[in-house]
Amino acid sequence: MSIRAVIGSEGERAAAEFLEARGYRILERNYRTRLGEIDLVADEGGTLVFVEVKVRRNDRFGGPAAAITSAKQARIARLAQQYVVSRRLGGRPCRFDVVLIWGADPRTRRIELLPGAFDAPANRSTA
Amino acid sequence: MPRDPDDAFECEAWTRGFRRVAGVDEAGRGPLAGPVVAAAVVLPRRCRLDGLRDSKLLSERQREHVYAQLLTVAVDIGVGVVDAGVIDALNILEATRLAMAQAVRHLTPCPDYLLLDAVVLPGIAAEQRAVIKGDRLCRSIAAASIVAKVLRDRLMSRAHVRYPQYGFLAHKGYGTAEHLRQLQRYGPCDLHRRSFAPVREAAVR
Repeated sequence: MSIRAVIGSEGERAAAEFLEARGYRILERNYRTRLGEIDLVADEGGTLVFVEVKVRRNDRFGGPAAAITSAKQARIARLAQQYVVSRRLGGRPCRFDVVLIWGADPRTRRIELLPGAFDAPANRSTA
Repeated sequence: MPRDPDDAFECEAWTRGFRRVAGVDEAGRGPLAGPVVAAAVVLPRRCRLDGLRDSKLLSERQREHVYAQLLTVAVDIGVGVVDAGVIDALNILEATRLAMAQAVRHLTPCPDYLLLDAVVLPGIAAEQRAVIKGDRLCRSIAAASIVAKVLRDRLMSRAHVRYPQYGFLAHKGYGTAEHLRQLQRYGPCDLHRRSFAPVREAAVR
């Protein structure tokens, strides 16, 4: 594991705790297929939520907000589709959230939740 | 009274002209189950680390506190994890070296000087210094011992979710009386090190 991977996995832990405190039920951590990985899958009041976690060690480089490219969004949407099909959850409402984390220290870090941060591209939104 | 680890070994290396000095240490050599985890840590020349001490002298809470600081201040961190199956196939010393070498290889750029706790790593092209009681004396090694210990504990907490019957959450795979009792009762799981005598004995029953 590189330092990036260590900080990323700490971020996922922090995000999961943060979301659980807000009533999300975590269904899956690091859902992985050939196509890649979704950091967290959760259930929030019946809605299936696919969560991308972005962590920056500090405020330099303008923070994490800009980091999710449209290519990445499309990849997450495809993975979400695979998840829905493999778990036979078709028909459930879905959403894509992003959790932004600044800092690695639990006492000083800032966590921000962007519910519905992006939509699945139209041509992929129907499984 | 033992002193806190300081940067005397690092300063010596810097004075000799080495640029990237990494401390390397391991956690989980002794347990009957779970991986051996190694960490390599490059610290900046000047940094304040509150409560940095040998990981074995700290409570879980204190370790988490230092670990969180390290994630913020460390120049680089590398981690290596070697599972029970590989420990059985090699032996614990070789598996530990393998985990350490993995940890070092995850540092970019490569370190040119390694401070280790009483071992050396063949096959790693960096000047190496084995320090006896390194985790008590040397700041970078103490830092590596904390990272390795915290991450190993995380992995054992995950193992507990898969195999709740052994009590991994409490003993982290070490051979406590409770662990030995559950090992007798349920037999080993695929996280157990079958080359370790108490596991082997529990397996033949």
